[in-house]
Amino acid sequence: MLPVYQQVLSFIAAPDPGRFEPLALEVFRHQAHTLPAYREHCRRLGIDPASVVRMEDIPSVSTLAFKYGRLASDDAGLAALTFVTSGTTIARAERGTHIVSHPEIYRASAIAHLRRMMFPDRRRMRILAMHPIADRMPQSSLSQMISWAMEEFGTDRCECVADRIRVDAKAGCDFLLAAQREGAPVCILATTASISALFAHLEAGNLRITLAVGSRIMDTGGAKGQAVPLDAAAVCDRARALLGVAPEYVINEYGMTELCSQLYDATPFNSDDHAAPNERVKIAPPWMRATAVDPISLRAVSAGEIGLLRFFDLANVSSVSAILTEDFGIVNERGDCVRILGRAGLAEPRGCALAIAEFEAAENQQVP
Amino acid sequence: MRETPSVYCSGPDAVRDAIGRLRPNRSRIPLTRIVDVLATAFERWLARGFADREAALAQIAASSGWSRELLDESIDALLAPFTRDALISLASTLMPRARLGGFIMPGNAPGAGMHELVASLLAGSAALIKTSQREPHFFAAFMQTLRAIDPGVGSLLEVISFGREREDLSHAMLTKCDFVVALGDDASIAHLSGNRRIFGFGSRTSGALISLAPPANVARLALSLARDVVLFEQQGCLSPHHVFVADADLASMHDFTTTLCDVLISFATTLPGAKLSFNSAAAIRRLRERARWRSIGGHPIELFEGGNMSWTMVLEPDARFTLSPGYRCVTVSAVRDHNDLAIRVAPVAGRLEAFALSVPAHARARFVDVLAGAGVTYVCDPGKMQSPPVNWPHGGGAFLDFLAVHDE
Repeated sequence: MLPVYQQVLSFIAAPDPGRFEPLALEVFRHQAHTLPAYREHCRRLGIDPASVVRMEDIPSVSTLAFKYGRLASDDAGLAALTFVTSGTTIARAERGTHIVSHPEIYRASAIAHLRRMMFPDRRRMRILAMHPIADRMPQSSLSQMISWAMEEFGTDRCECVADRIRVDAKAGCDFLLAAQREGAPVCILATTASISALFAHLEAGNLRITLAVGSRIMDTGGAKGQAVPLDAAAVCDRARALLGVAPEYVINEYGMTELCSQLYDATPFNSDDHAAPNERVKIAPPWMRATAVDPISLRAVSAGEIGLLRFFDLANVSSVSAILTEDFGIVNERGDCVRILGRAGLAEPRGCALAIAEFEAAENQQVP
Repeated sequence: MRETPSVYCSGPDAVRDAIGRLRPNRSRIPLTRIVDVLATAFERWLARGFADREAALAQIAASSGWSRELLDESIDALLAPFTRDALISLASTLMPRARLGGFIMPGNAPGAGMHELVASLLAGSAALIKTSQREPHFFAAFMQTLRAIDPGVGSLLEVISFGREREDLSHAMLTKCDFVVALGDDASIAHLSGNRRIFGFGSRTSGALISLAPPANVARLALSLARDVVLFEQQGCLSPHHVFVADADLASMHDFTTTLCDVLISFATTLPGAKLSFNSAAAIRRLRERARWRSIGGHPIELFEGGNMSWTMVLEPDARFTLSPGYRCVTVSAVRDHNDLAIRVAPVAGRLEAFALSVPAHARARFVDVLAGAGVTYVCDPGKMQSPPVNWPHGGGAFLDFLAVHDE
């Protein structure tokens, strides 16, 4: 393993905030050296990687880049994992690919932050996966993460009730009913769409479950895949009403295929930095730094101002760490606490002029 | 500078009251007088410095972030065809009838809907105009001009403004007007009901096709097309999003694109661009990053970027029609012939409104046929896209037909 990879692993194991920027610069130079597409990007921007001495000057790469450029070093070996984005908007055929040549770094990042945000009480428990696990959907980074979470935090009573086609809400319901009978706490790992399907199943059957104290839910993905999207407050309300899970144990994850690190809602269960009950902020791990940037200049906006979200994720060391997303939000001064506000650039009203969002929505409806 | 009147509805009776004032005025005024007053109003509005225009454009500039220079050029272009002769000619094709029309105007381009309003007035109708809360100024100011010239003709219009959440007011308007003209996005128009005569002008887009075969004047074509792009900040349904180039190899297409960029650079000074909203900037960022990374990924595509997001040009020879986020963003592609054009515009077939066309005479008819088949209602020379004639069959002409028929 290259020294820079080892340094990142060491940082994840024992974060040292004072070491973040020097390591980020080292990671950037490594990536600019080993990734021809990133090197070309820097060249076109007129940036000599060797001359970059501040983290904010590291050129970021749009998440869109993963659809078109190969952002993996040539040394990606047999252990490499290839993840594919779900492609929900423009041109479904153009799905992004993230090649993770050192999955152990992804695993270390995912597990360490899951431990902090989802399992701060260090309990192992039954896990219900409502999204396919890795052997059912190997191209999904979420599937991989769920499989690792089951290995790391699950007991021998874990179950996955989803495959790439469907979620079996009834099987999920049966699993939870058994846990209720036996008084065993459960962790549900789900997309917002699949937990929504579970809620719908419970409501349709007029069922109410009261899960044991300590049960928790991680949902992710937001409106993606939902005909009638449930917002965060609705997920919390239904979790309490239908499963007996208190809001502080309902934790939304923000992640994407292009990032090896994730952010989670801060709640009284996992953080001292939690926001007011009706507001949710997300906590990044110490090896990731968030910035809100002006979409025109790509320069950081002041703390507390709305901007396009950019992340520097050390765990992405084997691909590209400086990632510019299409989401907008607000970031605190330390870059570790983010309020996600949604997807930018799609919702501008255009009156009688055909808008891109309107056109894409119509196009996506036609895609089977 | 005077304030333009903007009547914001607050009470549920606002629409009923306005209709009560309008109904008695229908078809009472001789057509020649209406033509005369409209022609005078347009003459005044085409004079820069005219107080009503000045006040309205100042308010629109303040609320939209568009520059005054750009607004002046845009409104000049929109109103230029409304000459006295053109109004007389249009009036001669219409059948006067005492009707009350409801007009739901969009907020994306000030003045959009003027063609339908004028045709309606020339057909003897009174008009209840509901403006967008995003742009409530233009038609209120125009009404004020008409009232100043001739209170009688001015009393044929009432302008109100309310948000789409006021379903009670929308319902009152839809049910009490004899017909309704609605400009807006398809979803909003589809939502309208309650009137058997709703003329919807939904989401549309526009493009251009030029030939670089001699004796094409590349500099003039670029100047004209750039003007079509920048007017109304590319927010209207007549703004070109995609320019197709015929009779050109890659090198000459590249030269043409750089010439177009040069013109956009100069327009950034003479017709300064808008202050971009966060969402608009993010949409342009998306367009740019997509083009940038497709290029790095080896796709035949070239990105040209104006500083401060003042304009964006994407040269992609093989692209099919590509929508722009507006604010001076254009895709340029090659097209081989009329069959190729049909393939290229297929993604937006039925949603095209206008096309600038500059091709050799021998090829023109075939291209026009393709464009007509794709739903284009206005084919013009480059530089004229924002100036459709007063008898423009917007949306296919159903509304003009409605005003022209003798029997219902």
